[in-house]
This record gives sequence, structure tokens and C-alpha cells, in this order.
Amino acid sequence: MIKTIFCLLALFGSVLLAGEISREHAQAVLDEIYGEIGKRHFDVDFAEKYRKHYLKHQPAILNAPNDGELATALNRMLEDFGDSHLMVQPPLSAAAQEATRQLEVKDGSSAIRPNPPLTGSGIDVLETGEGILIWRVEADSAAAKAGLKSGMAIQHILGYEITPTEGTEWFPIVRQLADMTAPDGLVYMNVSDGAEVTPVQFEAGPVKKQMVHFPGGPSLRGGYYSELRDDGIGYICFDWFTQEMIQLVRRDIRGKLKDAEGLIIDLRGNGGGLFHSIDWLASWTVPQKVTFGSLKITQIPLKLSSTPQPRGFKKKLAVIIDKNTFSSAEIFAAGIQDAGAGKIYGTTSGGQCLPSIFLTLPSGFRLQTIMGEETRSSGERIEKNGVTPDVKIEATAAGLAVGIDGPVEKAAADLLAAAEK
Amino acid sequence: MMRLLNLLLLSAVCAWGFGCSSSIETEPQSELNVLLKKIEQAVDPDGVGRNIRTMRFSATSELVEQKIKIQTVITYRFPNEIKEQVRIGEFMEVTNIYDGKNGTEITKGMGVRALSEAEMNSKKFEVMSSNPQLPFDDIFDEIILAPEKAMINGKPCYHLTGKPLKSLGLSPVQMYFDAETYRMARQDFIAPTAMGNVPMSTDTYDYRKIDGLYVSLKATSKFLGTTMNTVIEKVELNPSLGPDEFQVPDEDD
Repeated sequence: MIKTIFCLLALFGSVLLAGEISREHAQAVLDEIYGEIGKRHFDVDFAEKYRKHYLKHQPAILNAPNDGELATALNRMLEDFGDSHLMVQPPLSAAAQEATRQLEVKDGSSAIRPNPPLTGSGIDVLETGEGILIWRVEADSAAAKAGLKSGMAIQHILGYEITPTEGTEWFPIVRQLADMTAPDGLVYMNVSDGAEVTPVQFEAGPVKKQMVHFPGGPSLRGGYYSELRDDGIGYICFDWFTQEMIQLVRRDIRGKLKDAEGLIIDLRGNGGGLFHSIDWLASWTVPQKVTFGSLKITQIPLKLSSTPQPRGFKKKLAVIIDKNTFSSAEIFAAGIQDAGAGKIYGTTSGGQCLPSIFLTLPSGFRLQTIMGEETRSSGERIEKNGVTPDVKIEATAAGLAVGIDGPVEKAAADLLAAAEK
Repeated sequence: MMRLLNLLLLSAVCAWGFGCSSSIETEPQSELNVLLKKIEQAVDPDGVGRNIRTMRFSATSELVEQKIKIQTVITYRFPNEIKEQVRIGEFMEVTNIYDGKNGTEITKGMGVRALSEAEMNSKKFEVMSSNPQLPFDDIFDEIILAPEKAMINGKPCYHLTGKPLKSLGLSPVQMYFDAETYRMARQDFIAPTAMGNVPMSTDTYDYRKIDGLYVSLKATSKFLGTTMNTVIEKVELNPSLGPDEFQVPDEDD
């Protein structure tokens, strides 16, 4: 997941790194990256088994004309490895970072630039079988003023045509583009309400989403939303597993959601985050101890478990996932399912679930690399398999347009029925 | 990872030395006992350790590859109490308190966790091994001297295997002492954490005399494929501590 997110971030960095490099430099960076991944990879025979990818990509890597292209060539090799959570970014000096913020990038078809923090379009998106849909529109946001509504399908945004394409993960791309503008400061979209396609343009405005920070890694936009629904069910949805998000969960569990009849944690589109947050989320939302499978780091077996908190939530829990639920969010859902601590709704999760860390290497290249292997209590791997929901259900454009989010309503109905029993 | 990190960090930062009071004078003058005596004298040549009742270390560590800074303060009140406060960058603040009977971990803004028995035994061992009043044979049931010296960072070192008191249920500790200075150069041990046992290796160096006691001011620890450098920035011997220093605070809001 982080990998896809870096795609757009890397766009900005690479153009600043056009200085020519030597083949010796490229070889040194290749060996550095390959060595660092091998040091922590869960497969003890990594160096031997993955060598074919090294040799296949070596010529293109050595021919990279600059550090930006070198990172691109290295990432092509990492894609062939077939494991999630592997990503290279070129060196980025402080000066370059500053320049990046102000840069307008031409990718051949469109020019885009990121919005400053706390400004954007104000939409959240969801991927379903019907495409990329507008999930929520922040009240009083630029998107709301421009007439964007839940359930609309985004067909075109800032020069990108959103069509089903093999191997393209449109969801994270659209989510990022929704917080960018064209060089003229406007957001351009074509949206469909099922009947007709409407071109929309508007200026980005204030939004509630904050920047969330990952230790040693990137800063990304992330939102948190919670409510006590009219039917008495508590609802929590957040984008990333971070300390800040879990603190907000804790606040709500002890505050406005403390008397809820049941609790829904909606992890659709949740990209994961800090491993350490998984146990604390369960500690506040599940009254029983939950063990989140087994984590193996440098071949050392470890187990992460929750510590039920005295003021934690005591009633039934439901978790919603989808194909864009990744990593820590998948571990949480799998742990809840395996412990019988709640029912899982939605569609099968993304299956990108390997523990990883962010490193800054001596060459200046930045590497996200796997540091171990995660298996669930049943012994199955989440990586490549995902988490299969107990109840398969997906939101529809028509439903969202009239305020009905299928998985949420189904989960709420089941929680209420359980509460009545 | 961050959870593990704070658990292991405490073990890493604590691994800078062992007690230095001597109770082995009446033992036969075996090679091991002579060596232990020299080790104890290398740490506390003036015998000031017997007067130390409380101690506080403040340290800054860095995870080398991740460039994450960590601040640690460890406070002891011998013979039983320890408080470890760790701040990892801007992301997390964790305090562990062990008062000789109960152990608690408080993660700021997140919640409270009771330490497991294995973790508490590890804390007990940390307090004992940092207590300048305790001799080796009060800390270990058995100490074995390897017949050959080991080379650690290019220097020949005595290799001792210490078996902690059986009641603690801890794995043996491998200790390497510089053959020239008799100061600890490396310690390998298994750190019990909430997630399981984790092997850890810590090299200690840059010994300085502080108020009569030689203390290692730098350490490099390796665990789970990660390297961490630690600099001890402040050492306080017999700092004044309040009566509630080791009390578990109320859950914060």
C-alpha cells in the first residue's frame, strides 16, 4: 500500500535528481538495496532465491541516467520479488524537499501539484465493483460546495482517466489526486451519477484531514471519523494505524460511544501503519484478550496481544474491510476473526501484510523493506491471501447516493439484533 | 516494531554494568574469583558503591538505520525499585515501573498494561545487576569462565557465562570483560518482552569515572536486525527521590 502511495510522491522527487550518475554508483546502490533487503527478509535463502531478479534487472539498473531513474529501475526489480512492503525512493535533500513542495510536475498527460496541509477537496473515496466512488463529502468543503455527492463515480481526475486497468491500483492514486490540484489551483474531475457524466472544477479549500507521521517514514494525509448513530450503534472509521488515531478511539470509547449498543470499526481503505497500534485498538474495543497471530522477525517468533482496558468497550464489535484494507488493518481484522471477538463484513482485504521498516541508507536512498513474516493464529498467511469476511457485502453507488452504506447498515442491524438478545 | 522497540530499549540501555561490591574474599583464590575481584575493582576502585542507594541515568539513543531518536531516563531505588521512561521521537512515550512486587507499563495516551511475570523477573534482574552494592554471587547462581579468551572489537576479553538466580527463570547471560581493563565490553542475553524472548547483544565502551564509579557512557545494541547507539548523558548517584517516585500514576486523559 505504502508502495503505491510513494508512486506519486516519487514523481516529485525524481525530477529533481536529473544529475548524471555512473554505472559504479548504480551498482553500489543496487548491492546496498539488495543487501539490506536480504538482511531482514523472512526467507533465509533470499540471496540465492531472488538472485534471478537481480540479474534480470541489473542491466537496466546500471543504465539508469540519474538517481530518479535508478529508483524507478530498482522498484521494477522489487515488484518482481512479489512481496509487499518493498519500495525505494531516491535521496531527497532538504532543499529538494522544499523545491518539491513548489514544483509543478508534467507527467506527459497532466500537471499536478500537492495541496498544502489542511487543504484539499474534502472527499473520501471507496473502491467497489462499480469503480472509484465518492464515499463521503466533508461538510462545507470545496467538494461539497461544488456539488459532489456520495455515490458519484469518479471517471476522470486531473488528467487521469479512471478506467479498469490490469495491475493499476487506482484507489490510492485517486485518493492522493483528490488532495492535489492543477497548476492553476483548480481540481478537475468528471463524475457520474449513473445517468450522466458531469465535468466539475473547483478550488481546493480547508479540510479536516491531518498529516500523520510514520517513524522514520513518510507523512501522509489521514482522517478519523466517528459518530453515535441514531440507532445507538457506535461507528469509527480511520485511514491509518497511528498513535494519534488510537488515541482518538480511546477518547470516543470513554466518551461519546461509551453507551453504544455495539461498535463498528470501518477499515475500508485503511492502509495499515504502526504495528504497535493494533494491540491498543483491540485493548480499547474488545473486552477479551486477543492475540494477533505470530510475527517472525529475523527468525525470532513473537506474539502481539491486547490488554483489555478497564474502561474499554464491552459490547459486540463488527469490523468492515475491503480490497484496500492493508497491513496492520488486516492483522487487526484477522485477529478479531480468529479470536471470535467480532464479525468481519465487506470484501476480501488486499493481502499486503508483511511487517516493514523505513531505512535511510548510507547512499541517501530511502528503503521500505520487509523485516519479517506475519501469520495468523490459524497458521495461514495474510500476505497474498487477504482476510476473507464472514459476511460478504459491498457498498453500491445507488445506496451511497441515498445515504445507505450497505456493509455499515448490515453490521449495525446484526449488532442491534445481538444486543436485543 | 515500536512496541518491541520500547521493550527492548530498556534492556539495551540497562546493560552497562554489574554490581561491584565484593563478598568473595573468603572464597578460594581460583582464577575465576581473582578475575571477579578485578572486575569489581575496575568498576568501583574506591568502594563508593556501598553508599549508593538511588541512581538515575539519562540517555539518548538512535536507531542507526531508521534515524529515530529515543530519550530514556532510568531511575533506581535499591534494592527493588526501578522506573524506566522512554520517549521515542514524537511518537510514543512509555513508562515502566517495577516496585519489587508489581510491574506496570504505561503508554501515554494509549493505556496501561500489567507486566508479565517474566518481564517483572527481568526488571528484578536489571535492578540487581545495576546495584553497586551487590556482588556477583548475589546476582548469579553460577558463573563459568570460558577457557579461551574471546576477541571483542579487536580486544581479547574474558568470557563469562552467568546463570541468573534460578527463581528468576532467566536465560544465561554471556559477558565479555576486557582482559586489560577488566571492564565489560559486551553482554549477550535474552530479553523477555510482552511479545516473547528476544536475543540482544550490547557492546559497552567509553568508561568514565563519575563520583568514584566507572560507568560506560556509550553502548551499541543489536536486536532483531536493528542497531541502536546509546549515549549516557547524565549519571546521578544518590539523587533525591520523592516517596511516590515508583507509584503508578492515574490513567491520564
